[in-house]
Amino acid sequence: MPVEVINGRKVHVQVLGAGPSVVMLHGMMVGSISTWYFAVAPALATDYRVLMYDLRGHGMSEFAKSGYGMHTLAADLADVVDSRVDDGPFALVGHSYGAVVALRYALDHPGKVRRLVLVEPPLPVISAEWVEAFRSQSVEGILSALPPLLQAGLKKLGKRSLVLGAKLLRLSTQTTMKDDMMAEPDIADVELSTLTCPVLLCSGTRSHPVFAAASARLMLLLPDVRLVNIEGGHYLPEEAPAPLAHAIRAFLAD
Amino acid sequence: MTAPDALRQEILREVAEAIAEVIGDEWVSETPITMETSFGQDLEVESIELVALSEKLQARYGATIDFPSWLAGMQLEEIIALTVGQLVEYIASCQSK
Repeated sequence: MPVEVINGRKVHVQVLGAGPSVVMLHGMMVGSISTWYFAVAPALATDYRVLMYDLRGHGMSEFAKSGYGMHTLAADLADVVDSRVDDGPFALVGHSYGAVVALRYALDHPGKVRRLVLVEPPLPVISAEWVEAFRSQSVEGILSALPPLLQAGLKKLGKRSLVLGAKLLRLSTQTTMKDDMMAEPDIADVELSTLTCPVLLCSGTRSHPVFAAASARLMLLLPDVRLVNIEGGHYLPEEAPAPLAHAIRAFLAD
Repeated sequence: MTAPDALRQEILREVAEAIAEVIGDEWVSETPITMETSFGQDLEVESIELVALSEKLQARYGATIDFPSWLAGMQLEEIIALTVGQLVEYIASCQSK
């Protein structure tokens, strides 16, 4: 079943392919399993067992009023891993805030992560893309910060788009998401320098400068890290799936 | 190769059923599903709903179809413009292999 009860919460999980495990995390607000499912995941699934799940409050997972800080979400990840990954150290991939959660998990569980891929991580997370996007001055500005597929849906502003809009509004106004993220805005330099697993950073060439700054900082601090710049904006999984999948495949096979 | 009409009609009925299960009967009753119905413009399907639809189709048709890989081969504009008919033809072509 796709929606499973894991540690007492309903979590939407999807698996593609077979082989060594790769776990993929999406970003906040507008992300879901679909961030990976129709683009990068099929390209990995030819050689890997790709496990994706919707973060709490997102996609088809259970709504949650609180628990959106990186520690809680990393603990959610640990629950999923403990119940669904049993082939030893696995590869972990995260986009945007999902990358920060992945990094948090890798730091909290030394030896569990074989390879870590961080796609457009915001760090500190105060500058996370949704804060930027929703502070924007115009409807066009807000729309342009969203993933292309969602833009297409929202621009039409049909009845079902309004339902989607209401879901986003519920996440931003009826949860402690923003406060949770603000309460844990950063990971200390000294802690970042203790991460032992190899890391691939994927950076969009046309993304917001806050993400380039985060990547530059991680390049300086992480002990085993390489950077790949990919033509595109913040939503690389949707905007540049083929080059992103290629970079991830090469890194995982290395 | 074009699938015989009877097979297409059968697949269309099954796909329409799966779509209704995913997005809810109330939306489908407003927008009858035909071969020309588009997922983006007409049904305003959310991408997470496409994931749910993918799972239902996989359960129905098994390993003969690979919906995620099929979509992965498309450009974003193509996915946005995707019609029910294209999906029906894809499933029919997989079955006739």
